[in-house]
Amino acid sequence: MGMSIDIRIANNSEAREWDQMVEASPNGTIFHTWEWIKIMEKHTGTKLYPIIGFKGHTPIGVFPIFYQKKHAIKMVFSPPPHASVLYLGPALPDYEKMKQSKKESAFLAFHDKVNDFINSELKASYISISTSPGLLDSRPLTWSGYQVEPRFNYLTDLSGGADHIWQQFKKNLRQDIERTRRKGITIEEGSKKEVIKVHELLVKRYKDQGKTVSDSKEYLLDLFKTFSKVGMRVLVAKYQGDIVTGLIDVHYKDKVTSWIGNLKSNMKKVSPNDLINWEAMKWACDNGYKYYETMGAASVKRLHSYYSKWSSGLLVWFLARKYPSITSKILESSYLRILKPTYSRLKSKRG
Amino acid sequence: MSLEIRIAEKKDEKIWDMVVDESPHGTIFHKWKFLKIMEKYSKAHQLGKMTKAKLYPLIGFKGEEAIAIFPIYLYRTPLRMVYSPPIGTGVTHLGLVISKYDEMKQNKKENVLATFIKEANKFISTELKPRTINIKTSLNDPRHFLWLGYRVEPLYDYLLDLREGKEHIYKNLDADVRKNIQRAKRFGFVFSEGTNKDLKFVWRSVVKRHEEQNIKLGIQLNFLIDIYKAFGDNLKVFVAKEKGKPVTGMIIICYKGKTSLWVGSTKIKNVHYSANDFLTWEIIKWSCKSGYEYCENIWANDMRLCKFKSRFNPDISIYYSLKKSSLLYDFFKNLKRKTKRKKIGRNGNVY
Repeated sequence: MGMSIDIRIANNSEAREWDQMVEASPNGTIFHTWEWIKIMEKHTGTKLYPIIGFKGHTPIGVFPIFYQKKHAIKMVFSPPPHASVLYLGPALPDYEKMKQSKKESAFLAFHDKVNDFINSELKASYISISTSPGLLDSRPLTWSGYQVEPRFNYLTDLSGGADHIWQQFKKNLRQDIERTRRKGITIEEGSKKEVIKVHELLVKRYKDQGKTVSDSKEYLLDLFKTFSKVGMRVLVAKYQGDIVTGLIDVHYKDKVTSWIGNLKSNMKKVSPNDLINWEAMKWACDNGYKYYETMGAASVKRLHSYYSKWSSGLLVWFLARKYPSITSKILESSYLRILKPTYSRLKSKRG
Repeated sequence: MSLEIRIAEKKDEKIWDMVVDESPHGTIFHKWKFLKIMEKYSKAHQLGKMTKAKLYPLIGFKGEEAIAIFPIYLYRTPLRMVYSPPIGTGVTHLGLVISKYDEMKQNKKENVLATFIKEANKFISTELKPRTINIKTSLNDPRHFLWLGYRVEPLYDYLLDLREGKEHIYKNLDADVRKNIQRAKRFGFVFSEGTNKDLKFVWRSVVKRHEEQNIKLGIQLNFLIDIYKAFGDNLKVFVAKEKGKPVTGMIIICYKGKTSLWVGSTKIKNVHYSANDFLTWEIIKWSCKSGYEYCENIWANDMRLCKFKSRFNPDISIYYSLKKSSLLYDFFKNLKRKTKRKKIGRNGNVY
């Protein structure tokens, strides 16, 4: 006999309680917070269902899910696509304080209830959930029929302090950073103008690669407006007045996450990317953060070796997908193997 | 990085075992003698034919130093199969291990893994030519397998930290486990270390329990006897007795600061339900007294069994399943699953 859980959809007046629950969950992130999920809903063409689970009167978890109907196919995501957010999923307050059997029964019961809601109310044909780091257990997803795969981010442990981390870097890296500084490249914290510039750099780089940036300038500006003083920083590397690269970081609880940007600059013999990364890490050390996370590079074969020299280890999280019907599995498979590459080739031919 | 990879021979036994001892992921199952005993007994059943395993023990050298090993088992069945661990041995993880892995910096770890995995994968596909590959590894970085097209899934064991001592552990057991331990004492169960005879008793009880669930146990008694003879220092049998007769038992592995509950402790008819909780608790106490730091309860992937095992309040530890199959193999496997409806046991190899 499992735990008995009820779920309901949270409303705007519960934003504070929602955020408190996210704060109290070991795997709660800035992306789970009320303002962030509302902004994602606004800019991704999805409908947000911010689900809260209760055991009796006690709230035991939050789970923001995003619904979208496209080409007659009903889909549920957490996080939604085109938001540059890699993970989200459920967050359970005080999860780490529970005994193991309670962790399992709470997570399983909550997940089952949400799953029932997705199947019976939303009737989704395709479900994609990425859980966030700090939730090592993916079994409730496997047990309820999801196909689960691990994903990784790089993590640097900052507990030794900036000097210690500097000494751990390879000599080449330290020399590159010093040389870049001597050349006159400076790192500055920016504001709205710099957010727009970072977005422009992203658009240009993606265009050169025949791709389009899926998140809009307005999305980033909305987030910056809300989080700039409490959880988001934009850094730019400048050379002779020009911005050569930029980076948007988020910070929450004991971690700074390098979120968007740090596109490789075209400058020769110097490395503004290394300098900006180092300055971001130093700021994290100086401001008492325990960890520095690099979003997205570890799982990408092309990027991982550049970032591995900065990190002390890996963070694992999980991508879980469900295809309730064989049709949607065939559709996703065809899309990834045939339609998407064909479309990309056609686009690049058109130039 | 350049690594020389070849197939190890008997003369390499000492350096092979040294790599196992020096790797954080090396287990007793990776030891040369254990691998050879598994080769002797492991068989695969496919399309009406029984085929024996052949061990290919890959070893990687950097200059003169052996730094990586990867025991691979080939079955020359009609649809050839590669397994690590092999079939029918009750061993749940094997795969590759890297010597002194935890002492390396992140980018060095990745260089070693990238080179060794690439070469091992090349050997498997060009020399062994299997239709299916099935590996289970404790390595916490399976990305190179993901990038080589393997399907990677998380699996779990339970791991109990013993370092705070038995009083602390007892206090944190679920209440019903503590009650069962007291009940068992009042009932008169006695805990003792067993002998060869008790090894046979444990094996018979596991066979019987599997038969009740219509599963054929792959592990042979002579396999366990050979292991017990070869690894007397690392294998213990414990039983709970009622009026001098064993009513339940467990074969445990003791290696590198950890005891692992390997085979046994099954539900037994006509025995008081508190017997298994009592046995597990006594093994935990014995492990504490004997100076072990962890007690592992292998296989935390079956939802029904987890309900029992989680009550001892362990943590979970993750390992990974790495699979790759041809379409033809998948087709036959799914066909067989649909026609036979066999339950996949913890060996994962009933097919």
